Amino acid sequence: MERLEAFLRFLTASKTEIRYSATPVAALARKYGEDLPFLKRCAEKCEAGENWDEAWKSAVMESAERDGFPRDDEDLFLNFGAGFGTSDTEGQISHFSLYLELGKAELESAKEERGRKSKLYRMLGVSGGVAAAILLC
Amino acid sequence: MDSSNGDRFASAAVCICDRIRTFLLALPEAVRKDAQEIRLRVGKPVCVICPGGSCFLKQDGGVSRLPEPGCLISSRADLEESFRMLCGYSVYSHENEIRNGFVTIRGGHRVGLCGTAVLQGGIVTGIRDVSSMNVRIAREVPGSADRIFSLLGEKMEEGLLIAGPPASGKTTVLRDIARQLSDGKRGTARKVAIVDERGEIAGTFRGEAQNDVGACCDVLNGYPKAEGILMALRSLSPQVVLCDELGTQSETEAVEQGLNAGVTIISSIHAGSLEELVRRKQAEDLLKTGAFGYVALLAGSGEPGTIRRILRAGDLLAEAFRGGSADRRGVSYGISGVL
Repeated sequence: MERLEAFLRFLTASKTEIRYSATPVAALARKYGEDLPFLKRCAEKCEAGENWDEAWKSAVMESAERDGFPRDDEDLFLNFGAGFGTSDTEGQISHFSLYLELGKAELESAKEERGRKSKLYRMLGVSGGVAAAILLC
Repeated sequence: MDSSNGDRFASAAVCICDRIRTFLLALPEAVRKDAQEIRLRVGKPVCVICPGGSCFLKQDGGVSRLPEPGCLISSRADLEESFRMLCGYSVYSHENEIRNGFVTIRGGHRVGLCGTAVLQGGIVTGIRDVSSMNVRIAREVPGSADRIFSLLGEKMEEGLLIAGPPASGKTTVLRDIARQLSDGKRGTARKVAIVDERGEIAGTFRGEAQNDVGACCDVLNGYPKAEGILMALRSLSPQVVLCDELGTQSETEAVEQGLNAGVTIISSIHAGSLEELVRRKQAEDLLKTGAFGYVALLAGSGEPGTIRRILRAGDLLAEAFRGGSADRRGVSYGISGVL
């Protein structure tokens, strides 16, 4: 969830930078890479001479493997990267708006999932406690 | 800054996709050294333009003078990848340049783009489906203006209009004039303002001139020429204003204002020959401002930067346009000219 929240912050900030200062993609990745390790890795790969598309893909996939991203998050980041930088400002603003919505929906479902799981774990904990009390009595 | 023409070729090829760049960099040194342009067209052979004509790249690494079977063909994917590389994978950050049809890259090379126009309210707002790319390799030829300086000397201060056909070296000569004047190679170091509407003279990339235009030179990059000339007069107090390819009415008016401010104007104009020059209304209007004491005619694309003739503008006006006002001093010497 923290990763999705950081991704949404990156989208909001980058959308503004693209509209007002047309900052190139590699500079955005470098600037906002501190909160999102795959962005930082992507920026490093670009600086090492890798082309942007490959750098983005491999950085997301490496991070997904290392940090255990859910498949939905990995797809979200990969699909966003495929359109990042490929069009004019208006096209990018629309692209960012779309992924902000998708990211928010993803975050909501992650929160619901966490809520459901925490309720389940709470119930399991209570049930386990009651069972233990019965056994001890 | 690149030192040799071979290096220049390599730095220009940076914006071309890996598949084609590999072939380009494997070209014989002689071709790389002389290359003026690299051309990519969807579904057509990759072509390098040299002073002697076109060279088509072949899949076996050789070159041919004519497009023939076995030539290296650039695909749509090659063009798309090259376009994105050209923009540093950030198309939006080059919107204005794309709208104008070209992008300047590190090294001062200019990449012309051709595709389908995107229109909004009848105005071109962009290009989609890029179908051709033309990488014009920027060259610096230090000393290319030596002959003009040796023939004109201090008379250069009376203003100079350089006329020549495309690829005759007008911009190269202008750049060397800027460098020599602002570096003080010809007397004291002059304050030179370059109005570089298309980024070809200084080759500015991220605010830094990629070509050597001298120590006392200010570059107004991307400014429309008329507006740039007036801006330079207002804000930079230049001694010399230099720009490429004048022609419109507003530019002529700006030149007149420059003349009134006591500034030396040095510029260029498209004209394949003296006859073509005198037929052009824009040339007549420009010369009638009195801002140009001399006209230098370049030889052509086969001999880039070679001066064919230097004429006194007043004589040209008097003889060719009938009724001109001679040069700014009102002197006419006959159309035989200086050279």
